[in-house]
Formats: sequence, C-alpha cells, structure tokens
Amino acid sequence: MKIEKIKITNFRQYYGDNELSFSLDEKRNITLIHGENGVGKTALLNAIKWAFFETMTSNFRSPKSLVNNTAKKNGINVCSVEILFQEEAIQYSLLRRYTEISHKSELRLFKIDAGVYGPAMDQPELIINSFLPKEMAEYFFFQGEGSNAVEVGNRGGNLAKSIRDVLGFKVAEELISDLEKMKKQIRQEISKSDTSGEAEKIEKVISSREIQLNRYIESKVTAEEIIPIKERDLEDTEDKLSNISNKNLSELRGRERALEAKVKHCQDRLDNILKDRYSNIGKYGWAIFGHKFANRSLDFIDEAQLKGRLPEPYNQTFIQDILESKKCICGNDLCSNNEALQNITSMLSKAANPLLQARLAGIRSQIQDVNTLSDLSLGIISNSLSQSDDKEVELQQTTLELKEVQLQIESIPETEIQRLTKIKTNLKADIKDQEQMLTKASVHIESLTKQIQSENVKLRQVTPNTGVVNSLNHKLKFVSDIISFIRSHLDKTEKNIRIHVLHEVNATLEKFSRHDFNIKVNNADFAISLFDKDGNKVAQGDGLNLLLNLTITAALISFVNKNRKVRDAILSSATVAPLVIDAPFGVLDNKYRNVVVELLPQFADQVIFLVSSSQWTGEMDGAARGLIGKEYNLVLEETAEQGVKPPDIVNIRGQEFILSRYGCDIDRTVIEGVPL
Amino acid sequence: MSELKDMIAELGQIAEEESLTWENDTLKRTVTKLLTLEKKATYGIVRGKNTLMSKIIDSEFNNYMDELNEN
Repeated sequence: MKIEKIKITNFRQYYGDNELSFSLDEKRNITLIHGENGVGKTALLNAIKWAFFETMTSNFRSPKSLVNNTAKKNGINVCSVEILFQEEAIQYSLLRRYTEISHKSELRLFKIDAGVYGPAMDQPELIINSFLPKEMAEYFFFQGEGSNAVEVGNRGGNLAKSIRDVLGFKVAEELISDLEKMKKQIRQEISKSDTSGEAEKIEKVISSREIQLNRYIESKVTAEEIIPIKERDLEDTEDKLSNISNKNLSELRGRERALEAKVKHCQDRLDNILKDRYSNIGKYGWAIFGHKFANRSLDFIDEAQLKGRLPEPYNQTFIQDILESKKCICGNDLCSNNEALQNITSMLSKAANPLLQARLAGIRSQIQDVNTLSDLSLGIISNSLSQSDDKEVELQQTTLELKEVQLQIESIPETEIQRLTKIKTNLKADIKDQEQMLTKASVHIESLTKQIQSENVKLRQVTPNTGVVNSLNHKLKFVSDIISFIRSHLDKTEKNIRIHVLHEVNATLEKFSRHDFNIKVNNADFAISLFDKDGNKVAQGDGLNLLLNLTITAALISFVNKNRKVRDAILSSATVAPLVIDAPFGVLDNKYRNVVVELLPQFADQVIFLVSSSQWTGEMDGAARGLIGKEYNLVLEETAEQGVKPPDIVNIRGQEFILSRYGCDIDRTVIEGVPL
Repeated sequence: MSELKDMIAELGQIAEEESLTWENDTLKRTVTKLLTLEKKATYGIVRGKNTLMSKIIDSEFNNYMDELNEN
C-alpha cells in the first residue's frame, strides 16, 4: 500500500480543507513533515490512523473532540479525512466523516479507475482490513515518543499473530479450513456410490475423527504458543520476586535473624553478669559496706571504748594472786588497811580482764578480715558492674539496630510479594495444564491420524472401483496435497522470518549499538530479549527498545518485500504499508537517530517522518537529504499577537522557514510545501 | 553471523528456484488461484466462493492427474 494524498477537513488543528501529497518516488521515498509541538503532527498521524481504523494513538488527547474549534464556532460540526491510496496497483479513495453531535463516524471506500470514482464499496472496513490488518497498523502508524512504540516488541502472542497477519497467513488458514470442508464433500460423494450404506458410515466416522483431530491440532498449537509465553512470564515474575527477596527482603531477614540472635545472646550474657553481680553483692557487699564501719570500730576499740583500760600492763589474775599472797612484788607486806594493800586493791578495778582481751583480739581480727575482703570485693563487684554496663549498652545498640531492620522490612510491600507469589503459583499451574494439554493433544493427534488413514483405506475398499469413484479419490488426494503444501509452506515461512528478523536485528545492533548485545527471538511469539556477551538478560531502555522495534518492523517489511519479488503465492497477500512515524527520534540519542534515518527508507516503500525542529539535526538532514521526495512545514497561525514570544523557525538546507505566525484571521494549522 | 548470512542467502536461492517452477507446478498454481479467491472472498470482494473454488480445483485437476500419470 502507498498513500498518495490526504485531505483533512476541519479535523483538530486543521481548519477548512488541507491537502498533502506524499512522495511516491521509489528512491526518494521519505516525506518529511516539520512541525513544532502542539501544531498538529500527532493530529496528522491520527488523521491517517483514524481514517483507516477509527483508532487513535494512546497519547492523543480528547479523541472524541475531533472537530476544529473555529469550525464549531462557525456552526460546523462535521470533520473528515480523505485518503487516496494505492493497493496492488489499484487506486482507492477512503473517506471517513465524523459528526460531533451524534459522535458517529461513517467510512466510505471507492475504487478509482482512470480517475473515475466507482460506487461506494460494500463492507469497507473488511476491505481495508484485507489491505492492512488493524493489528498490524500499530507497526506502520505509530508514535515514537509515546507509549505504543516501545511496547510493540513486547506484545507477547499478539506479535506472532500480527506477523502471521502481515504475511497473509490469515487468508491461507481460511483457505485450509475451506479445503477441509471440500474434502468432506468429496468423501460424501464417494460414499454415495456404495449402496450398502457402509461407506456412508465410514465417511461419518472420518468426518467426526477429522473434527476431533482439528480440535486437538488447535489445542496443540495454542499450548505450544502459550507455554513459552507463560514460561517467560514466570521467569520475569521470578526475577522480580528474587530481586525483592535477594536484594532487600532476604538480606534484611538475614540481618534480622542475626541481630535477634545477638540480642538474645546479649540478654543471656547480661542476665548471667547480673546474676553474678547480685551474687557477689550478696557475698561481698557487706564487706564493702562494712569497711568504713569496721575502720571506725577499730578506732573505737583502740581509742574510745577501751581508753584508760587497755592496754594496762597488768591483768586481773595477776593482781588477785598478789592480794592472796599478801605480799607485793616489791617485797612489802600487804596488811590490812595499809597503803600498799589499798594501792594494790585499787589496781584490781583497772586490771585487764582476759575474757575481754580475748574478745577484743577476736574483734580486731574480724575487722582486719573485713578490711582485707573489702578491697577484694570492691574489685570483683566493680568488674561485674562494668561488665553489665557494657553489655547493657551493647544490648541497647543491638536492639535499636534490630528495630531499624524490622522497620525496613515493614516498609517492603508484603502485598507485592504476595501478589507476585500468587502470580508465580498460577503461572506454574497454567504451564502444567498446558503441558498436559500438549501431551494429550499430541497423543490424540497421532492416534486420530492413524484412525483416519485406516478409515480411508476401508472407504476405498467398500466403494466400487468405478471410474467416477477413482476420480473422486484422486480429487480427494489433490485437495489433501494442496492442504499439506500450504501447511508446510506456512511452517517454513514462519521459520524463515524468524531467521530473517534475528539476522536483521542482530546486524543492526552489531553495527550501531555501543554495547555487545545478542538477541534471542522467542519461537512461539517472537518476543525479543537482549543478552550481554556473558549470556545475562539485558534490561531494555526506551531508546534501545524503540530502536529494536523499528528494526523488527523494518525486518518484517524487508522480508515481505523480498518475498514479493520472488512471487511467493502464500505471501502474495502480505501487507506493506507506509511507515508513518510521529516523533520517531524522541527517545533516541543522536547515534540511534542516524540509524533510523538510514535504515527505515531502505526497507519500507514509503516513509513519512513527522519531526520537530529540535529533533531534526543537520547530521540527520545530511544522511536523509537524498532520500526526501516531499517536504512540508506545519505552520501555526494564531489570531493573538506575537508579543514577546520568540519566533518558531526551522532551518532547511540553510534556509529559514517560519513555523508560527501571529495576528492572523483564524486560529489554525496550515500545511506549506518546502521547495526541494 | 556469517553462518546466518549464508543461511539467508541459501533461503533466498531456494525461494528464487521455487519461483521459477511456480507457474509450471499445478499444485502451486492452484494454491495461488485459491488464495487470490480466498482473499477476495474473505473481504467481501467476490461472492459464491465455494462454487468458484470447486471450479478452480476442477480446472486444475486434469493437470494434476496428468502429472501423476507422468510420474
């Protein structure tokens, strides 16, 4: 398909009729459209997409409000987009009109023969879909800066389906279904030749078995497609889960366990230290507290209590012995009432008592012991106090650390983990179910195929060997051969495109990517994954993802083009539409931008780039200049005065073009051609 | 990468060779006709698909039989 011209009438920024012809030149196949933000680049892309499919890009704001505001003020509530395009050398005109009051749109399609419009065609949506399947349009009309472009490569099973659609598989698969019905009709005809009714019975068995067989083939295909998708989802889910678990939760849980053990150990140790401390206090505390008292006691014994009595140089027994002998130690007799007797008798009252002396000696000894033990106890108890203090500090710090870790654990969304775990469980169950389904289907397919073959042999045996029956049997084989041929061709084509996509994308990455990446294409759904040289999966940023998707699109287009040239019957209905890309370079850096500019025009027949002045660099212009067949500026016209607003200017081949005008009669966007 | 390039080249060659025999091969020619019809019918461009399909099969059937007999 090639788009020749678009006429936009009262659609969004475009007031009145606005026409734009696209380049049809094979060598200069780029149509370059410059426009600043908000002027109508996205509206132009969506005008094309809406006209074909009544859909918009995801970033298109207020998709229900399509009619131009100035038109509405003038009482016009209808907008339209007319596209003149070629499909397989036939010219068509497509017209979609939208009435804002009823919010309804109407599509009309005309075949044009030598400039003359034919009648409006029936079921235009169906015909448009036959030219370009709606799901494939995502690949051809897309927003580089928006979300859909970077999602294209990650659309799972839809991508595989879309590739089949773009390669024309849908028609071939429909044909297989029709040919199966034809086989049944031929068998019914054959069975009519047998009057016994046996052939009819066999034919019914074959038909029934074929229905079952097709059902199992469908189940097998579905399972084969679903299993890798589910496996990839499972892998992603496990990655996400292990990222949460390994990097955060597991590590924190490990730290929590270690800290809990440390807290427990500290607590036990502290308990033991305290136990020892209390025991030592019980054991030695009295000595510490008694130390001062003991010292005072000694003072008291020595100085206060016993002063004047001790130490007397004589004791009570000695004095009594002197008194009983009635003779003093000096030799004087102790007579009654003589002075010597009175002196000695008076000494008796002060003489030392041996019992008291013994008691005092004991007290002195005890007090000395207390003093000695007090020093020792003080050391023991001070030590245990210091140990318990240290342990208490350690316990407090560890407890605080544990609390912090527990807070961090609490901050991790457990619900996310639970959600992912649930998804993982479900995915595992789904994979198991699908694997069981696959095994079951494979067994049944083998068994049913044998049964059908056997029934066919029986059918030939019971039917008369007439020319008509033989001819019908040959026709049956002819139709079966056609089915086998198409099936085998479809399988082969799918394998080829996988190799082709792989080759093209790898070549692009090898040539332009600054990283040493390797690409893997999932067999079932064509989902793309990147791996580094060590085989580790690489996370794809938006820029790389967009480059990948553009490369995949280019690879698909080039495959279809290449196979068209070799007249492949199956792919003759494959679709090649113009690539219309709004802001194709938004998330790409300069190096990738140049890749896109060089790459896409090589693969696609027609490329339409919608760019802002900031996106279109001199280097890119240099790379693309020789490929540009048509060039336009989208110029903003505003009724407001310019004031202090800086002028919007684009420099094209050294010439400056104004992209905004002020003080105009109408607020609108106009399309102005740039002379080449 | 060179292996891939060889493979692509080989596939291209096979496709080229196939294309030469395409028109002369009854089976392939029939498929082409049937697919063209199917495409038109799927999108409502032609009606009476089954009748037209039978006609295509019948018109090519004799050629198919001739090829079978030759082989």
